[in-house]
Amino acid sequence: MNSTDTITLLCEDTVDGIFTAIYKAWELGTGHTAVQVEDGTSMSLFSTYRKVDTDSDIAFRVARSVSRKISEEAYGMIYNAALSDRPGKAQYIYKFLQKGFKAGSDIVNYLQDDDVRNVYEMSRFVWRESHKYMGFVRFEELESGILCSRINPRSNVIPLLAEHFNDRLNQENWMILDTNRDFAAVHKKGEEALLIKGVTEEQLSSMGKLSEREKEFQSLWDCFYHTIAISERKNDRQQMLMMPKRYRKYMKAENN
Amino acid sequence: MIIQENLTIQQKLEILSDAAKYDAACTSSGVDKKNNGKGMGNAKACGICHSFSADGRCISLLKILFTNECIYDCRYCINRSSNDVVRATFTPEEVCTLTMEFYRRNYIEGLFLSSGIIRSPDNTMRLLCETVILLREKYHFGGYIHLKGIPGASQDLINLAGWYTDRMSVNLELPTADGLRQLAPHKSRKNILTPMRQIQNGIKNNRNYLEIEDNSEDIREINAGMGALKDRRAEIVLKEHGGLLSNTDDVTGRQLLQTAGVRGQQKFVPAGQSTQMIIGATKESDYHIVTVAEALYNKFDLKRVFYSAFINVNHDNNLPQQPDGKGVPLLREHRLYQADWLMRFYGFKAEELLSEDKPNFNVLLDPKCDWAIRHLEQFPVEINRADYYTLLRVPGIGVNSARRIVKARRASSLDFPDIKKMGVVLKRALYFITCNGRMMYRTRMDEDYITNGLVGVERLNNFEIEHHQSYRQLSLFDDVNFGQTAQ
Repeated sequence: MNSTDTITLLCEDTVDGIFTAIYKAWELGTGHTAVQVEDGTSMSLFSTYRKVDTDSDIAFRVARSVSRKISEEAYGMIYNAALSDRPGKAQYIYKFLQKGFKAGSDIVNYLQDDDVRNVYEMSRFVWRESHKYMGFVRFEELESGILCSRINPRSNVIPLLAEHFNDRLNQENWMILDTNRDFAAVHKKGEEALLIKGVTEEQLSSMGKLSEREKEFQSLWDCFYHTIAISERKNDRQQMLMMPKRYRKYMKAENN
Repeated sequence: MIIQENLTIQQKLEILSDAAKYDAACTSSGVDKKNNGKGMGNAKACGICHSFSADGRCISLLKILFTNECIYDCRYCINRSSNDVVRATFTPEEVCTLTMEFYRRNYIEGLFLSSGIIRSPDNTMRLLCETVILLREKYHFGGYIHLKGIPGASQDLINLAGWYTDRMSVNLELPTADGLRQLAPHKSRKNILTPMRQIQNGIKNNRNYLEIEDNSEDIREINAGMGALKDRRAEIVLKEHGGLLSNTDDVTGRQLLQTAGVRGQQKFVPAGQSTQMIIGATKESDYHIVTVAEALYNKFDLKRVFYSAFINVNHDNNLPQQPDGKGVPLLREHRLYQADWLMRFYGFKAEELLSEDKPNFNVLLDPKCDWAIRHLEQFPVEINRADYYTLLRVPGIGVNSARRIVKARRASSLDFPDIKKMGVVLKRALYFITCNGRMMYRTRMDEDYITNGLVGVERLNNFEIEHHQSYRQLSLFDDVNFGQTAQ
C-alpha cells in the first residue's frame, strides 16, 4: 500500500455501524482515514476499502465519550445526523468529531465551519422530519386491537418516533413501518418498542383486517378534517408548504 | 331556534366543528407532560400539528363546540340566537369518545372545547367541567386540553376547570368595551375580564404553592391527606357536582370542591392563558389593538393573543360589508401577528411601532422594517460586536439567527456569507449591518433609498398574502432560507 493512500472504512447504515467505523478509523489515525456508509457506489481509485463489522459495545463507548467529552447536545446532533439520508453523512460526522474533541462543547455553535454546519443541518432536517411525522403518522386499528401505521420518510425517523410513541401510547399495542426501508418499530403494551429490520408491507397487511369501529372513526375524522376548513380562506399553497404531498401517502382524509 | 333531536354523532360533529372553525387558536404548545402511567397521552412543549386544513391552518386539536345553542345574540357570530341554523349538543361521553379515539389514531394532540351558552353561563361551564373531568378521571386522558372559560360563570366552576386543563382562554371578542356594547349586547367587558383575572391569579397562586411544597413538611402532609380523598373525588365531583357547585355559599361544599380540584393535576392551567379578538368588525385602529394586546400581556400574563380577521358570515347590515365575500384583508391580520411577535420576543413596545399620529401599519413594509427606517440613526450595527437585543432589531435577523450569531462569533469573526448560512435574510439586513466594519454594498443611509430597496422585496410577498396564496405561518423558525431544509 502506498503511504499517501487513504483507508476508507465501510460500515452498515445504522447509528451503531457509523459509530463503530469512526472508532476504528480513529485507531488507524485520523490523518489518512475516511468513513463511508456502504451503499455500493462512489468508490475512489486512490483509497483502500475495508469493511467494518458493527459492534454495539464500541458504538456505546463512542456515544459515551462524545456525551462526556464534548456534550450531550453534540451527541444528540450526531445521533440525528446518522439517521439522515445524505450520502457522505458518516464522513461529515467523523470530521465533526475530530474538531469537536479539540474544541469541546462550544463546537456545536461554530456554524461558520462547514464541517459543523453540515452535521447541524443534517441533524435539523432529521429532527424536523421526525417532528412532522409525530403529527402525520396515522394509526389504523385492526380487529385484534393492534394499531398499525405506514410511513415513507426520507430520513430514518423510526427510532425517534418509537421513543415518542413509547410514552404517548404506552398502554397500546402498536407498530410503525417505514415502507422505504422495511424497518419497523413494534410496541407491546407497557414495554419499550423493538426496532426490527426486514419487515415488509405484505407482512403488515397479512396481520389482519381493520376493525369495524375503525371505518367509523376514519369517516368521523374525514368529516372533521373537511368541515374545520374555512372555505372563504382557501389557501392551497400554504397547505402544501406545511404538509407537502410526500407526507400524505398514507393519510386517507388528506388525500381526498 | 331549530333544535334537532336524534342526531348521529357524525351529524353532531359536522355541525359543532363547523360552528367552531372561526376560533383562531389551535395551538397545543406550552407544556411538557409525561404519560401518567395508566392512561393515554402526553404533551410536548413545542406543540405538534397533526394536519393542515384546506385554508392552510394547522389542525392540532379536536376543535369543537359542546353546543351551538346560545341564549346570546352577538351580531358577528354564526351561532347567535336569532339565526336559523340547526342546533346540536354533544353529551360529555360523546366528546370523550371522539377525543380518545382520535388521539389513539394520532389524528390530534388533544381537545379544544368551546361552547355556546346553553340556558346560563353556569350551566354551560358545568357541562364543560363535567366533560373534562370525565376525560381525565374515567378515561385517564393525559393529552392536551384547551377549555374556554365562560364569562359570567361562577368562580368555583372556573377554578375547578383550571385543575383539569392545560390551557384556558376567555375571548375578549372585541378590542374595546364600546365595540362589545354595540355588537355583543349580552356580554360585558367586566364579565370577560373577571374570569381572565381569576385564571391569572390561579396560575400565580399555584406557582407559589408548588414552591412551598418543595420545602415544607406540613404541606406534604396536607397533600398526603388529599391523596386519601382521591378516590372519592371523581365520585364527589361527577355525581354531586350539580348540587355542590350551585350551592357555592356552603363552606364544606367549597372545601370539597377545592380538594377535588387540587388533586386533578399538579398544576393549574400549566400552558397558560390566551384570548382572541375579532379584527375589523369595529373601527379600532391597529394602534388601538396592539395597545390592548400589550396591556393583556403585561397585566394579565397572557401567553398568546389571537387576532381573527372578521368575516361577515351573517351578512349583517350593521357590520362592515364584504361584497367579495372574503372577509377583512388577511394582510391586516398578518401585520398584527408580526407586531405581536415583535412585542413578545423582540423587546418592542406598542408605542415604538405605532402612535396616535400613525395609527395603522404600513401596507408595504413589515412593522420591523418600518421601525428601522424611521430609526436610521441607530444603524448600521456591527455583526461581530452588537449585543443580542441590538441584533434582534435588525430587519432580516430573527430570534434564531441572532442567537446563532452571538454564539458563533466566539470562535472567529463572521462575514456576510457566514451569517447568510446562519439564516440571516441579507436582502433585508444588508442596509442595516456591517461585518468587520464593512457594509455589503455601498449603501446610502437614506430613508427613501432604503425604503425603495425593501419595498421591492416585500411587494411580491404582500401581493400573495392579499390574494390568499402564500402567507407563511409565523414561527420561531424564522429562517426559511437556511441550508437545505424546508420546514
